[in-house]
Amino acid sequence: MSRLVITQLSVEGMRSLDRVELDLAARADVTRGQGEDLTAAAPTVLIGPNGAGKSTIVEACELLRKAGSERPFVGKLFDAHGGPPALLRKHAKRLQLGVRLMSATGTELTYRVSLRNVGTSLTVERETATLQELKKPEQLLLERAQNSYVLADPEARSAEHAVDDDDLALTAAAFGTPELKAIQTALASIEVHTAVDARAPWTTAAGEAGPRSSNVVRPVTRVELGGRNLPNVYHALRNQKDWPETLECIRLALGDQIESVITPADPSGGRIGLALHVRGLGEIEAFAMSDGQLAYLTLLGVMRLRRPAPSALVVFDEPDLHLHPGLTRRLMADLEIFSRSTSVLVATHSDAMLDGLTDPATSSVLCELDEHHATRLVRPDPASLEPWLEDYRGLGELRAAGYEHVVFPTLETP
Amino acid sequence: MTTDPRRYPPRVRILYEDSRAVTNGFGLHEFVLANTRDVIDGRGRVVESYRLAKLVEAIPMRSDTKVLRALERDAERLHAGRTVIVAWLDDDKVHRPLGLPPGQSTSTLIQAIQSRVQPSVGSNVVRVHLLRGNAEQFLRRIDSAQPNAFDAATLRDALDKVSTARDLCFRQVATARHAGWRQLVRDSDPSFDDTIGYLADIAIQEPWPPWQHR
Repeated sequence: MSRLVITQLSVEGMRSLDRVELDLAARADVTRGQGEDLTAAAPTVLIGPNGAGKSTIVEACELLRKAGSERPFVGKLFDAHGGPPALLRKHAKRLQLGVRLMSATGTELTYRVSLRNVGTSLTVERETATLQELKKPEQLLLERAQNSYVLADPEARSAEHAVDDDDLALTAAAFGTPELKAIQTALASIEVHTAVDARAPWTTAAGEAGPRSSNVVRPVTRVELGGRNLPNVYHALRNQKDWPETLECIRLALGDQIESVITPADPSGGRIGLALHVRGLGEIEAFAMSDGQLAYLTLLGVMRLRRPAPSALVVFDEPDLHLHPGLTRRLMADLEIFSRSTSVLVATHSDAMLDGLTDPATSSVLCELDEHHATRLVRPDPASLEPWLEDYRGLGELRAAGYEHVVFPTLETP
Repeated sequence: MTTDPRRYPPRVRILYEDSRAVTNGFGLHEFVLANTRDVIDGRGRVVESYRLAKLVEAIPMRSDTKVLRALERDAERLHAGRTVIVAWLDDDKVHRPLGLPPGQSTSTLIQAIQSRVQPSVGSNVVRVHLLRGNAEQFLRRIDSAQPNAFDAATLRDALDKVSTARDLCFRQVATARHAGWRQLVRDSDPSFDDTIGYLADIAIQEPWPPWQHR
């Protein structure tokens, strides 16, 4: 099965997310069956007040990543995200997560998992996975209820398989069903990048290894949370064929005086660090780089690093932190290019980032709370937005002028 | 607080219509600066790149209406008694915000744009550069001056309005080794050559501003 990208997320019962479905910008509009090229896309940018659900959507993406990669799922979910009190919406009986995925050939797959609140714990209650090929009816691939599941395969259909109530049938069944394996692989490939940990060494406690620290040399498959493996990432980037283009992107953003990014050996042995080679100055090691330089290098690393398998969704939570508005707009341009190769979701408060959007009507999604404190997702009305953009730089400047609600349709609650 | 004596206002502020506000690595402006430096070099004068970038400042504004609005409302403050303003506009659609029918001559368009400038600002303070077509067409002309020099995929993206690709193309032809290529571009585009000559004049003119020393 060809690679999948995530075109829709759905979350129910998670904090402010009573029930939301988020179409990832333009992905859902990609003409089905156009071969390998899934490039007609744009990043989806979540905006809205604090507490409106942006970061919860980001965290839901991380839960989906764990669904594809970590066992036992419920145990891992507890370790990192807390139990029902931390995750579930008040009075919610269950937490549901779902994705819609699309292959380059136009095949659509869906996966949903429902976790029930049992006292202080969670148990997997239901899972379903479906397949819809072009011009064919939707086909059920997997159906789980409580501790047993059945598969669509006619030979296996009659047999019920047992599964632990803290683990996923998707994981157990993936080995024998290519479509389920593809879903699992796609979920495992989700990347969630929170703000880069660019704190200066003097502000951090001993032992907190951020991107300024040297790394034990090892292969990389992704940029780790907070950019912890940045030296290794740049070691890999320097060995990619497109390193000259990556270096051009760095110069475009950080200035022509950057001659290279190097990964010098650490005298302690077996480790490498990261440094900028700057014309007229020589080396600036990672510990002496500005927060913004380090943050940008990390984000660019995410966008330029070649993975063993492309990610089905890459999520950035407030990537603009530490960046000058000019650099923020450059980052937005980079993210728009990156979104040609995969689904990209960004949560931000940055007006500069919004001003950088080529098509704010397609990309931006406002998170708002309704009268029940439930998140609602609203896209701008293109017809309302267009005349405003004649006079304003972008959605960011409009928002700064206090006109946000002029271009987003009035919230209608059911 | 101390004041850096080198921190003078720029001599020129170029109001570009065609970029997303102020973005790091604005390629078109770097191309303009590289051409200006070439012309200054050709006159046997030397202005360091760093200093030229301080003398000629870019203010990208994203649309022609915003450039016109700045001329109407902000020209006096942008001028501040010593800075020349260049309004850098594409000539393909500027008739619309000016309320003119299509097909106007360049001189009619420039006159209409000049009429938008705040009356308190002298007529010698604002210059209008009308780019033939738009930035993508300009890039095509640069490409045709020296075919196959751009990376084909980057050029394709640039012509498809991918801003990073466009910046990369302009920056490529702005590098020191492509002075000959830039000369070909200036030779093939007299109005661009005129504006670059004007910027070079201002960059090397002493004393500055001339209207305070007459």
